[in-house]
Amino acid sequence: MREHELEQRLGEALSDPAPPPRAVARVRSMMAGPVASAWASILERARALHATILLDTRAHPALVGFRAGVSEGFDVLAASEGRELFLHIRQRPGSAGFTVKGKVEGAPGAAGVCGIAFFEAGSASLVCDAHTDREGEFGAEVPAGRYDLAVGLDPPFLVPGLALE
Amino acid sequence: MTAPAPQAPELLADLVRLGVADTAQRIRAAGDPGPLLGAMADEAERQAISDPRRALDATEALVALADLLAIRSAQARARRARGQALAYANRFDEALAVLRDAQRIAGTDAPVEGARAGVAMIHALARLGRLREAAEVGEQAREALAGLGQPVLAARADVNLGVVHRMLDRPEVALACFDRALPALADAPTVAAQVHSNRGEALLDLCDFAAAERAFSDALGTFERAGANRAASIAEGNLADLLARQGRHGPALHHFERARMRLASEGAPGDAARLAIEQAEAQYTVGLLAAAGATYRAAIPVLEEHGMQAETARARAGFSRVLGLEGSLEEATRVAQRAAGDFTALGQPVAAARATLILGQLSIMAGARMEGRALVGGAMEGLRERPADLAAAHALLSADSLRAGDGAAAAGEAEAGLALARGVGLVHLEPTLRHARGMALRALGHSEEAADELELAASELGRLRGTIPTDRFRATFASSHGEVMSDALEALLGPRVPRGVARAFVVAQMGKSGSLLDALARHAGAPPPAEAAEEPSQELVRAHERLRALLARLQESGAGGPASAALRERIADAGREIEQVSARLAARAGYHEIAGAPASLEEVQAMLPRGWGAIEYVQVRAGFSAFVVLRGGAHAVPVGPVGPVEAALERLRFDVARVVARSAAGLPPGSPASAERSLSDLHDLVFSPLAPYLRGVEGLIVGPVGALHAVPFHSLRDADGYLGERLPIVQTPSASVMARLGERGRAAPGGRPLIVAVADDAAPGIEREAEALRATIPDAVVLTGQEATLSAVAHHAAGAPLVHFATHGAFTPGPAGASGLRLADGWLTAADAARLRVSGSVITLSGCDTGRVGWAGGDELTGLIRAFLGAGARAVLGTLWPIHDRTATEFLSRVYALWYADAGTGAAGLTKALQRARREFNAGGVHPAFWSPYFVVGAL
Repeated sequence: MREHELEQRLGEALSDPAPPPRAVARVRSMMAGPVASAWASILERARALHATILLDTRAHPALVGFRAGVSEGFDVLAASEGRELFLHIRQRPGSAGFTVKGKVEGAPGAAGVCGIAFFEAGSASLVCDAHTDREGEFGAEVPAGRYDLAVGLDPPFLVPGLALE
Repeated sequence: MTAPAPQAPELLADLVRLGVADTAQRIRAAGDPGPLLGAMADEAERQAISDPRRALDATEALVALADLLAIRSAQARARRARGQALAYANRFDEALAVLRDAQRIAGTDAPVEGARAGVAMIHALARLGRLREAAEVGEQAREALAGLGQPVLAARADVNLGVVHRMLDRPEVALACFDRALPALADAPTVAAQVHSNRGEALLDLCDFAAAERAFSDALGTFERAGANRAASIAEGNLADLLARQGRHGPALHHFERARMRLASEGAPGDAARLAIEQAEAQYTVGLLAAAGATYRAAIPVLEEHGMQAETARARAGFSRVLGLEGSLEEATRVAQRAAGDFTALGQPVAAARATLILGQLSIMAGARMEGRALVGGAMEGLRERPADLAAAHALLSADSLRAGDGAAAAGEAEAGLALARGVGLVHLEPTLRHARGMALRALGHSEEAADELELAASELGRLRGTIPTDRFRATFASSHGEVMSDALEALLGPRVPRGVARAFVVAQMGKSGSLLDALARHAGAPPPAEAAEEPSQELVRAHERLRALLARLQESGAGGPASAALRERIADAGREIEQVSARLAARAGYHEIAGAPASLEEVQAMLPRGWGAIEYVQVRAGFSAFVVLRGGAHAVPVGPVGPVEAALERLRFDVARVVARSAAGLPPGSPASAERSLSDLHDLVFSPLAPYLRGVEGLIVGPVGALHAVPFHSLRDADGYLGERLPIVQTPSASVMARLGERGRAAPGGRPLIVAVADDAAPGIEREAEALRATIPDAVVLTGQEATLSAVAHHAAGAPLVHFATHGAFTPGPAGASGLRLADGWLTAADAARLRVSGSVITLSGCDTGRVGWAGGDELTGLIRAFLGAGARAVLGTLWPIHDRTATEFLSRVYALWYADAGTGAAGLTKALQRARREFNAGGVHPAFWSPYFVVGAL
């Protein structure tokens, strides 16, 4: 069972959509191991399939085909075997962390419902994970760092070395 | 006063230049050195007023000269002059030591000189906070001089004594001293002017504002005529303080700035710091908390360093109020306690009571109600002769009673405060007290009377806003009083309020884009602000250059590149710097007490084209409401909470960002389904509640508020498609702004349209766009590539009926002037745009994010659209997000073709052309992210 699902069930059991923070913290701590363990096998498979970065707006002097379009954050577009990952990333005001909003497309045009995990780059250390909704969209708050981002579609793929710093 | 000696100024100058020995020889040769030394001391004291630095050098040498010549009375006299110079340089301890030395040397041989040294000590003792000692020393000296048959000198002692009594919170005693002194000083206009200035301060303490203003103005005029710059700066600072206390913000800030400029050239950091704390008090009143806090923080150490204890305590008291409103209650309490203690130790019970009042307020804010009310009650005892302070205390108690659910007590307190404020003409306190009374009446169920009172409070605030110079200050003021507007709206829209909707509509107008409305009123019938009183300022020029350079670097650094966030912060800083320098220049140049008149409901109904409707959104706390206005009626309709609208907008922005990224990567934009869902959600949130009232309308005017400025109203989507396909839609910051823009008329006939196009490798379509438009508008002036310089654009835009910019755009939220358009030789910033002569013109901004706005309290907008409308443009076409170069070229070429085929009939024609082009592009399967960002703001 995934961490957020357990939290949800905890909330239901307590008849409280926002369960007490201490209970949530305990659930997080209890589930950290199992979640990391579930992701370990996905990561191993994802390492075999690196996505191609189609666009990282940080690397471009200007958005080709647009009249400036310098946004408040930066965007990354990656693809692997017809599946696509789009990330819109903003630094959190007054913090070293980042707010990541993303969208996964499975088969072209279809929402990619799956898990997403941020691992410390080059390691199996899970920093945070998220799950897409029915539209393939997800959000995550991620500390500054360098990450291998695993997308849990079948087969899973990896966006390696994503720098959020 | 020693008899005039024409050679004294030269001798004094020579004394410093040539040294003591040479001058001693010359003086001995000239005869009796005593009178000559006295004349030199007189001259040195005159210098101490006008040039303290020079006086310090001169008196040091003079003391040495008198000692060398060993003439007892001259030694005492020289030391008195030295003491005065040191005191004027804020070196009070040294001054006291020298003056005591003068008294000792004078002894019984020169009793008048000894008494005069005593008079001189009053000032230094007072500035060191030893007030009772100062009063004793002064009284002794005054009696001695009167007894020695020296009425003029006794009058001078009275002047100083009056100052001390004022500092001891005895303004009536002080006034008596000044009045006793004046007749004997008729032959000394500068000294008399100083007395008038002091009288003004005592009168200010007694809340006799009219008499105080006369006294300060008289003193200022006399000092100016006498060239006494420093004394003039103090009088002008006092005048500014008086005006600020009355809530006359514009003239207050003007005089503060002038006083600051005068003091900048003087070596008197203590006085500058004193002026700064008075200015901080004015900033606090306007609501500029951050600026006031910074000013206090900077001034307190300077005041402490110069031993100005009373002023330091005053600064601490003021600072504690700022800290309290910023939420730092513990620190605020510590600082206020220290101020109260210091005032008590200085023997200033009224000032201590003021600090206690602040402590009471802080306790109430911290939830310790009973303790807070007890402190306030105690403070009111000490302030019973001070109506202004008492009025503020009543306002505080009224708000507290209301929070505690005691409406009757709240009403009583507010009424007591109002009576006091009215009695002494404190117009700036009246809205606060009326607001308190209105809320109390509402709590008591007197809906109609409550609505009347709250409406009046809102209206008075609108008028006060008009007295504040610069948009930035006005926005802050509006922001700090937003609650009054919200409460007035709620009360007027409540049950049993006659003409509630029409009256609430006017209140809503006061809370939206007030500074733009003021700007339009200020320039109505006058030339646009290009030449409006902005004196050349190297500081401002440098700030503009820095902003342009940063915008250029932002574009070069990449779309969201690693340095982008830091650069954006620096751009915002540069924008803020321009605002601050401009504010200072504006305050120095003068003040305009103009508040743009809000449009009435009837006026807006009359302005509506036949068959059209208008939506005026307002935000009341965390929810949106709207006025739906038709020619035959009007409705106030609740819309919904702000949060879900912001979330839907965030989703739309994400959808658009994804389309932009895919396009930039060379991929097709993908399915529009997600964007369509976001637009449908937004429709349900912001338009559906209003739709029943708008059935059958043929066109729509929309006045968004807050987050709604980012909503593409024309692209809101329901089961029948996009709203903008069915209706022409034009937006406006407020209905009043549209009404005033409409009154200004169109650009004068004879001007030629201007097309500005700056293409590059990233956006080559810009060049094609210019060519297409040139074909549609053959009489246009076309500036492309290197021709499109800042100066060429400014020149050709003047009087042009249409100015089309096709170029890169950049939006910076926050400071008003920091967004921009790229031209050949740099960025045309919003600050530059605000100075273009585009009165009555239609402006189209074919670049990325050119229609995005930032908003602050009072829904004051920033960004390019605000800048162009402020410059007098009749309407502006902008974009809500990045525009795709190729599609933009195709879309706008088509819009212009449709517009000009219809004879180019101004903004109304442009809006209809946009509607048709949107329909065509949507029918052609173009993703809405490409044709949705364009919208028109302004008058039809």
